[in-house]
Amino acid sequence: MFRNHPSVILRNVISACVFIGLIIVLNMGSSVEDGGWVPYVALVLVVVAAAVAVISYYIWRKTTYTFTSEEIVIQVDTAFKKLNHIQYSKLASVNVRRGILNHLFGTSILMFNVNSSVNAQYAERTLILKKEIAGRLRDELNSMIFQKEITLQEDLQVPTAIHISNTDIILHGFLAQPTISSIFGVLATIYAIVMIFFGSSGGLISALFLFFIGEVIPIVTSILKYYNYRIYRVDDTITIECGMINNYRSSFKVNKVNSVRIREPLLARAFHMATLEAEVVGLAGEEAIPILCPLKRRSEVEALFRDIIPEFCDDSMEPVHQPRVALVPMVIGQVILAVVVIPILYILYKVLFVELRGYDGFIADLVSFGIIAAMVVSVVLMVGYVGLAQSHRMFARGEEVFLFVHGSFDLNTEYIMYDKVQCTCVMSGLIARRFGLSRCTVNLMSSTGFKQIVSGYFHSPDLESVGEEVVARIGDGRYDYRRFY
Amino acid sequence: MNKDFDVDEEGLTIDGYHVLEPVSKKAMYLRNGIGFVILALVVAIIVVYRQDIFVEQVDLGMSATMVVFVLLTVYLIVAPSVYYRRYRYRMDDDKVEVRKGIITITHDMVPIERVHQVNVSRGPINRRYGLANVLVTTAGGTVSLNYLEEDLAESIATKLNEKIIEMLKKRD
Repeated sequence: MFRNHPSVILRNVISACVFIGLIIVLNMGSSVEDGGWVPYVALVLVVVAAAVAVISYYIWRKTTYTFTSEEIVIQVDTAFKKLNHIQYSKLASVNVRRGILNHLFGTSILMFNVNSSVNAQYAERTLILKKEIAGRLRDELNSMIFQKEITLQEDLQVPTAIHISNTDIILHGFLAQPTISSIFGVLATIYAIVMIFFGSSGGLISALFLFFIGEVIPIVTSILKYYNYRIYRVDDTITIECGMINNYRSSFKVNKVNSVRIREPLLARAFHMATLEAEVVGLAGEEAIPILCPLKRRSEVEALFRDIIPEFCDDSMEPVHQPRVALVPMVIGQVILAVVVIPILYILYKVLFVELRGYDGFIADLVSFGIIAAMVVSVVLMVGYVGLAQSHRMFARGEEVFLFVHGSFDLNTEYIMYDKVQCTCVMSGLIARRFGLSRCTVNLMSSTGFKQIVSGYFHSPDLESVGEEVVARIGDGRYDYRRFY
Repeated sequence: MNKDFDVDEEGLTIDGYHVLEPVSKKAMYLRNGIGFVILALVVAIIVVYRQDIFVEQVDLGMSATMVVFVLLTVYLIVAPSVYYRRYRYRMDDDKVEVRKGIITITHDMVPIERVHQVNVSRGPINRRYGLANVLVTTAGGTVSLNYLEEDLAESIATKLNEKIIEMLKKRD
């Protein structure tokens, strides 16, 4: 029988104090400056800390984890009595995570993830134990879930399937961001420059804040998370280890993977680089879409793909490009978008022109230039979107998997297993119908509830065949549900 | 009308799909009528407060509002007839299919093996005309069979549930 490590009480106290402290400070408004509030806030925080400590201790004392031969039994014997059974057969993964407090106390967080899309945003349960005990327990549980006899110590000796240096991780942080995020960063920078010209300190602070939120945080978070990256496969289990401050160790069975994706953001594509990602059921939170390979040259990513998860490779597939006639619905779609966007920018120009009557000529010219530049950039982006989508989108059908190459600025080459498709929707708009074209949405169960993947424009019967193949595989027995439990 | 929508004595189209009963059109018109009243109220509020809303661009703002109002009104009038004419559904031992749409036509296909849950729902408009919707839920999303007669909706839901139970029993 196990209990959480007592440090969980301290964690709860710190979290509650930070939360309450922030709420108090944010609601103080102008009275922050006079300083007389400090004793009162301190008193409130002491009371909160004491209350949370007592409640947390009570819950800690009354909550036990028992590991039987078939299940985990979690008993909460507080005023709200609860008995929770998690069968090992329902567990998709047991992951280890270590944060700053864990490093201080020499503990690890064990995260128990079940095969469910309902509560997949969070682990079903977590248990904090001393690092060595957590490692041993995870080994035992893994041997039951994955029929994997290898221990954690032996795991550490398995060589990584691809060498990823920390320089690669820094490059990944900068170049693997979605293009929309990079555009947002550029716009925030332009906004900051304009605010400097206007001499608006408030505007400059908000521009820098936007830049920080949209660009800096994602890059830093990515670098911190994937630092010291390692990936390896033992039997049917893939394990990823990484982390600079928080250490992550995620293991999942190959049969829990729905699809594998080679992702190429525009900036990375310019350097022939890509990342490899997987859609996995049963991993929770930040590990929901594990990165099987941070940014590397596309050829290296493809080699790793064949090596680490060959179940999704099918050389017999013959991808077909989106038909040229698909340009018609795409161009018309973009023209409609332009008809909406350009007048909005024009109205913005007219409104700003009235507002800027009092400013000198330079500032008015600057804003006019900005609006006209935005109109031109919008048109260029629309043309670029159509051109890139048309030249890259593809579709192919294989024995066990099918392929959608979708996206435009950011390209995704997605290998999807027929047996993981939950339902399909083939849709054709007014224009596409005239040319016998459709787009197909396939719905998969995912770690974040459900995931939709949308193809480009292809001939309707070809896309209809995806759903028909899913049904046919169920009917003739090629789909065997036992493979995925 | 397109021959695809002609039905035989058993109420099936040439490719084995069912079409909706004519009463469903009344429910759609009533729903859109309520939608129109709400839309008209919003436009009336915009007209009353146009000076405050559009400030120095009143003419431009009012023109845009009226264009949107006319387009939405035409849509609300025409949509039920087109939706009714195009709506088709079919269910066999393996799958449930729904074809529907007004501007964009969609074809949903759900393998029965993937169905987790089946719900029958009746809103106030559907209840007035003795209609119901069947919501088919999978682990990856939902598909809805709309504006079915209540008895039919119940029988489809029962059949689906029976198939799921039968499938689960086989697995045990």
